[in-house]
Amino acid sequence: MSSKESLPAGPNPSEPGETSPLHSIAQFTHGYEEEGRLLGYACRSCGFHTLTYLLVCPRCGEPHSLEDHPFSGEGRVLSYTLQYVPSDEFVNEAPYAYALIELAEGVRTSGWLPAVKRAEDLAVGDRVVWTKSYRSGLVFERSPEGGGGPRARGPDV
Amino acid sequence: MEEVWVAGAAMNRFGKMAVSGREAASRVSLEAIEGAGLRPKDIGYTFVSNAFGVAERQAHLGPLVNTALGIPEVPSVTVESACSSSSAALHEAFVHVAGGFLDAALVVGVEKLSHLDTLAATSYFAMGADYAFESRNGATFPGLYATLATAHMHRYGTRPEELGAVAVKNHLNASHNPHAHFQKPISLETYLSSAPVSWPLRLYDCCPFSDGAAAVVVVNPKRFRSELTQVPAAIRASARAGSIAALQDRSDLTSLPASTLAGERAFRMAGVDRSVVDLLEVHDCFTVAEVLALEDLGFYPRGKAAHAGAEGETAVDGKLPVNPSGGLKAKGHPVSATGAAQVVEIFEQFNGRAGGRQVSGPEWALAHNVGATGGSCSVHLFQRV
Repeated sequence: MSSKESLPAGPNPSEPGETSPLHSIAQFTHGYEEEGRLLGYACRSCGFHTLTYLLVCPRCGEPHSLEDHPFSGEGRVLSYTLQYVPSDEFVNEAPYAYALIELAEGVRTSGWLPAVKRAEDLAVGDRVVWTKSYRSGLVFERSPEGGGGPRARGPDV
Repeated sequence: MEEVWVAGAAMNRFGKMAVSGREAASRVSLEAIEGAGLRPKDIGYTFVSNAFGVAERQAHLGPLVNTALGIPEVPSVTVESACSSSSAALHEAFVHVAGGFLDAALVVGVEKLSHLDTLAATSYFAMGADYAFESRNGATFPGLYATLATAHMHRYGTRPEELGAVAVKNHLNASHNPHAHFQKPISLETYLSSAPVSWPLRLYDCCPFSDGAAAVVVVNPKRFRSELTQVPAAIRASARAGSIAALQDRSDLTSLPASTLAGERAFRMAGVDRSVVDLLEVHDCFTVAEVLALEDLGFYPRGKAAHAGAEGETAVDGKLPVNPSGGLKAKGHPVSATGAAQVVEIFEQFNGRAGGRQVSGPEWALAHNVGATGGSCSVHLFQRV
């Protein structure tokens, strides 16, 4: 309550024009337009990987250790749903599958599969791959390699 | 720390309101205050929840409610925590009274969305999720709970009929609750033949979009005990917890970690064991959410709650009555009124006024209220005074 007013005037971290070493939220899903890659972050200190927006590494707590990191886009379905009643942004796409996905690097994301129109056309453990689509969000499709081995041995949900 | 009692509680009929949220919130507030044996001038602070007030072109509801109650000079604040907004508001009121800063506080939650179509309402509900990383990738709110259901079914073998049993029970309970949105029991056949919304969840797995308002008055008994006219509910624990919002970034898809944390904190705060609890009002926005709640709160081992419910253990006359009000599932879910409405049910149960859904002689009750898919959670423990 007392010392705030006497703080020295330093640089404003939210000053317009300041360049962040990390890509923005928009670039998680639009990074491929420039880079052709699926972009997340990795921690220089402890090796933690993520595909969500963070400023501080949740594993080691190091505040300035995250940097841009590309991911393969190949993964497996952890869980999924068939969306029959969409939100306004997906009104012309239903039904479609929305899936929680673990990528080969062990990092998790979500995405949607426009081509999956029936629940039985996808299963927990199936291999999926990210497609460089200009549609909303992260678009995945079933891997051309098929179901990808025994479904009972899929990733632990 | 001061004792904090719920001295009055009131709600309107959930469903479709003809009046505005502002009017409904004002009316239930006055009913709760007068029902407690108090007058509006006794209120020291008003904690309002109205997460989707913008759908009525209205924010800053507190001064409007206080003005209607004749106490415009009383301070107010709006508390937003998605579907757990009014339990978060109750927590704020609790902290103020327990800390000795207030002798009486009003908590009121209200929502009106029935003038929107399903598409618009679905889009509003999705706003509690992580827009950039969930909704933009195609998730709806039912869709996110559907992925939890798929994971639970995959790991534990939970069957659609067991989720259906939650819906059948809660619709039956609601048929005895004159304030409930749905007033008719449903059969398991009706459940199983209802349309898919977000496979594996069907229409009857989902709570309805409801309008509604609910209010709770909390007091310091040192100041108001002699004036109270109803059986009070002492708040023995008011605990909250948080979690990563996006499901995909959590390590376990068969649990809401904020529920587990808030539950542990609540039982530690009250200094009692789970075995004292005579009834629960838990957050069943979807059938699977009731199953997750009972497991996360430690009332059943992982993977066992759905089966126990299908065996009748969670019925009003079962060994652990869950959602005697009908729950969000059938009583309805006006987002910001839900947490307060859970307290209304517990207050009615303690006062022995619950009619056909009355639990026999309850002494302890638990209220569990989740924000969205568990980014926030409140757990309150109440003891009949």
